[in-house]
Amino acid sequence: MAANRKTMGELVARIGTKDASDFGTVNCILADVKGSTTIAPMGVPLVWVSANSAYEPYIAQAIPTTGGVPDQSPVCVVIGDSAYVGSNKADVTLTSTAQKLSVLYRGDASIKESGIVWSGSSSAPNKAAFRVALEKQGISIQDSATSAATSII
Amino acid sequence: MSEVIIKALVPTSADYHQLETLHTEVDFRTTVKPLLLSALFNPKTNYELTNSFTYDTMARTYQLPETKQYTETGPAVNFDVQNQKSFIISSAGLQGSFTPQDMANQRQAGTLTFKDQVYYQSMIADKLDSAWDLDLELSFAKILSDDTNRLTNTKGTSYNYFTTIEGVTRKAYFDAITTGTSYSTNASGKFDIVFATQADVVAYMNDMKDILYAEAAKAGISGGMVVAICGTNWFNKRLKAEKQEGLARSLRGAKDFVSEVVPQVNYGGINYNTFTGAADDITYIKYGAGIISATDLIAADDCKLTLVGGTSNFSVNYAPAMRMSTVNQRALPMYRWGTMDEVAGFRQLTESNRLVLLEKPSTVIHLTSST
Repeated sequence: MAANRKTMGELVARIGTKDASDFGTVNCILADVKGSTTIAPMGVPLVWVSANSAYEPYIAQAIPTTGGVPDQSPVCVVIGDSAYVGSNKADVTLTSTAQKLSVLYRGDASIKESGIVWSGSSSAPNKAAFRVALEKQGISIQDSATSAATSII
Repeated sequence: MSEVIIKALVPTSADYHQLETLHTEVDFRTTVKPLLLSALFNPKTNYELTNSFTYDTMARTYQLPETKQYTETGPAVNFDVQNQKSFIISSAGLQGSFTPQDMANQRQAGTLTFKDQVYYQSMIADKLDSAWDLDLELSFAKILSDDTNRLTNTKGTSYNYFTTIEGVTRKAYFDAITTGTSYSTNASGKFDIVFATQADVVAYMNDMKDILYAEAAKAGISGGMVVAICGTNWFNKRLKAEKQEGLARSLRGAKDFVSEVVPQVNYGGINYNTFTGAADDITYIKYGAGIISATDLIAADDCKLTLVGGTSNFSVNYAPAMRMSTVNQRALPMYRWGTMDEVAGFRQLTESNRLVLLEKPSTVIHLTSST
């Protein structure tokens, strides 16, 4: 009754091969994350909340100009738990106490739109604003290819 | 504990200290692939050196002699005009990738074996290969539906083959042919046969066949059998006419469709209902299939009449990939590149630059049944 947990390849389409040998240090980092929901640590969009000095799951917050990673990137995407980039072994319950999660915060990288776990409360304009912020950080978002849904009659 | 038992038993997801048996059978669901059109049409293939191609066209016209005085020489014939068509081939691509993290700690379905590179590469290859097969089928269907090439977005050049090649709209073309007859086309250039009131369906279809033969002869398409690729509703209406229900005499046809099953033909592992009209010798095939959700490849009320098996009226034209090792080289039907990086993982790119062209658009006759 349990589907396999989302792996990294379901979120990441491509990581710049020039930086590949640095992958994990160049594109990703452990960041402080707070919140009040339980998430699977793969594909959740995060935004910096300066009042809390942590990233929190993005819903519709205004995108700030600063952040908690070395280049002050205001948004990022969860790409694993604290163990390693790509590790998604169990759900993580976010609290007001910061927890370390692996995040993808800058390019050169492409991620799949289908891999992003949007909040149900995020509107299309909210998602668009987040996408713009990610693109500014060098992370392009690939829309899903059209699904084949074949029929005979 | 033997290895066999280890492989058969796994801790339950609810209680790690309990065991349950893992079946090796996997309930594997795959996608049915309707590929009738790809199987029926046997297109010519051209492998280009460039991403566009051109060809010259000529139409031979004839004029008639005039009565004259013995001392005159008669009027002169005109020269035939030579013209040119050119087409740009669009590019299409699809890719798949996986990282070491996708394999880490993951087991393959039905086994206690780790997911490995073979697992992911075969999955990606299967998905990519199937996608290209389905794309080709969609390309044929798109042309049959509205005479245009298949583009999935605004990238690439769109053509209406009928107006580009024949010079006029489908409607204008066929209305000119049927001037003075009782046949005319609807706004889309389709012959609309109203089965409920059509007194003689066979005569109608025979006349359509005559138009097709004339167009084929004009276009130099020889041989082949006349095939009607039918949407579900159109097929069922034509079959009803073939049944000759209420017939008050011995059936003269080879098959009594009132009491006998409709024959089937198998293309690519899928059976399609088909019958050959006893009096029109047209092979009708029901093709109600769809590839993109809720979109029939052939609209339910439509039917496409054409010739298959002889000279093909389709061609597939391939352009070379614009990459260092392939640019300006003879095109290949499919390109695949794989890159493996110790850290970033594996990435497979596929690309096919092809233009499916209906070279003789008038040799596909569109029929419909609006009521």
